[in-house]
Amino acid sequence: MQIDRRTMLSILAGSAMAGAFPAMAQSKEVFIATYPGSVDEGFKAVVGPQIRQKFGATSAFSPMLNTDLIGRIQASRNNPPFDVAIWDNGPIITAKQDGLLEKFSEKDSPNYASMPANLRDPDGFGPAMALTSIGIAYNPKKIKTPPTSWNDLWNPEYKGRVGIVGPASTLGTTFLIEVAKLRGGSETNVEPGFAALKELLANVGAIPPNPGALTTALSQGQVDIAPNFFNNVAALKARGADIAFAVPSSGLPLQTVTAAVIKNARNAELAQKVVDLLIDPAVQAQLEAAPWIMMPANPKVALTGFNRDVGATVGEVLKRGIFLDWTKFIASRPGWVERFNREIRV
Amino acid sequence: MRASGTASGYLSAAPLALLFTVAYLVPVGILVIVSLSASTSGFDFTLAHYVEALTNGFNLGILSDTLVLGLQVSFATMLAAYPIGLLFMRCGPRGRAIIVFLILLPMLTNTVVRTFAWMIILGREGVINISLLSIGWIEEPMRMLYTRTGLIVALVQIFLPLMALPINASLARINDNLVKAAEGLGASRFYIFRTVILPLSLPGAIAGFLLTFAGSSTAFVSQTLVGGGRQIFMPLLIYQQAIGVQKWNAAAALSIVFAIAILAIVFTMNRYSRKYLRGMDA
Repeated sequence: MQIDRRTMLSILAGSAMAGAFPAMAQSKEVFIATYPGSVDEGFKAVVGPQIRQKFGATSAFSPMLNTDLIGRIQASRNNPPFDVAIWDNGPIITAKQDGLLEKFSEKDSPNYASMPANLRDPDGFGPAMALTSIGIAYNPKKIKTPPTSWNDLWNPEYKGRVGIVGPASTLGTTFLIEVAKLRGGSETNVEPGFAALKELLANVGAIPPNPGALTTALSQGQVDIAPNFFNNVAALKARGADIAFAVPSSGLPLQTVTAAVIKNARNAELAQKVVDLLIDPAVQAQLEAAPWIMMPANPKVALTGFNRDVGATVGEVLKRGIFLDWTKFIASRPGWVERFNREIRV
Repeated sequence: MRASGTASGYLSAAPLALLFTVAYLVPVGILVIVSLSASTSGFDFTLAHYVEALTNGFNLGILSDTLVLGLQVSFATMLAAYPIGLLFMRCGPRGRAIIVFLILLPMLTNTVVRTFAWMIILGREGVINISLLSIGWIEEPMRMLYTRTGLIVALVQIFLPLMALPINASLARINDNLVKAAEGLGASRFYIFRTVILPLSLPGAIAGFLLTFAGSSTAFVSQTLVGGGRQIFMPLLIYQQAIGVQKWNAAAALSIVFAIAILAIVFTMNRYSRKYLRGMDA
């Protein structure tokens, strides 16, 4: 193929024009970082149209892990790639410490008043928009007795059938702490947890690299029982997979998913409104329904379907739940990741 | 005439050189600076991250294991590529076009997609296990996913084009009369392969080996998804340090150490093989 100078010039001019248009549309576009999987699909289907309808703005959603997100914002602090993001308990501490977030203007948010005190960021960076809970995921066709405790993973019958993930993820960190607590440890003393994981190795069939891959391993029959997020289990169950969720007798570990505005957001005012929209009962109710099955944070929203496996109301879920204090152990976590790499191997 | 020709040659290479400088050398420079600093906010010189990377036995174990993986994959890929090359050598233009097309075909699919395909093939309830169970060859599903063998098989398939194409190219250049002469003198097929075909195709094999080695030892996605979280190689270690626990400086130092280790191996092999090839000419 021959490209003469004129064609080349018109290609260059065309791409320059294309580059110019988003700049013109910038004032009316909001970029939101979501989580991979059903959360992202739900945001695209529910939140996107609402933003267009209520604020006349377009929106773009990017699913990614919080840890990736921190890296991307740090790489371009003055011109962050996102205006709004949702955060897990651990990474939001890092984001706050690094000054990546903007304070939430509570007085401009009509929906903020309905949020319980423990679902508001203690430093004023925004409300929790969803709850994620962690429990035991299992294949009911293979695991005939429904598990009731984390200790069930150590059942010799499940040799080679158990899946776990390392503490580089929220799931792995929570699992490690909960197991440590069962054996006399705590959020700050995970020594018994590591000892227990070493014993568990006899049963472990796979240590996938992250929670998403662990969910895939469960759905493909690579493992039959594993700690997992309720949301992942519910999404698979909604698609007809052989999977069930058991609440451990030691309590239901809960995380908040906090919606926060990113510092230096291109359109801070719109971003603040989007955070308010995310806790709006009508939006929350749509995200609560199948196929997204998000556990809403706003207590005004009624629970339906699979979410009722965890509790009858948001209030009841909050009452059953255990919140870990991430500020206590966030500094020890890198050490745990290294230790897991080193000790929990073949 | 000649001088101006060279000058215009330099000039036309300038845009690429500039792009290379801006898009590659500058980021690598920044990486070196970050690796020598104690924190990410401001520069504060320290060698601690290098000392840690080079004295921590666990990290060194991962580094050597990663390089060994690269060598294993490269040798296995070479074994897989030679039969294709020998077939290629015997084919006419039409057959050769079909072989090249078949080699290139998998490259039209993204590596991530091919990696997922391997997860489905190797899984406990994957294609291989289900087939073997149903014909009664095995009683229990075999463990293939998240094993080293499974990973090597997947990487061989993924990197095969990078090995097969240069090997084919050098095999195609071999003068057919040399093979015929050897046959005429009564050499066995294996003897011909060992003394005529293999030495003459070494330049292609070495090029393919180096490409496969550099590619497979750094193949983050495939290593992580097919290898699992229990086999840790350098790319996953660097990812965990940078993204998982936000130790950017340590991750940068590990990246530099890893890059130098790979470069050293590639450089040594290249030099050694050139010396060998030159010796063969003489």
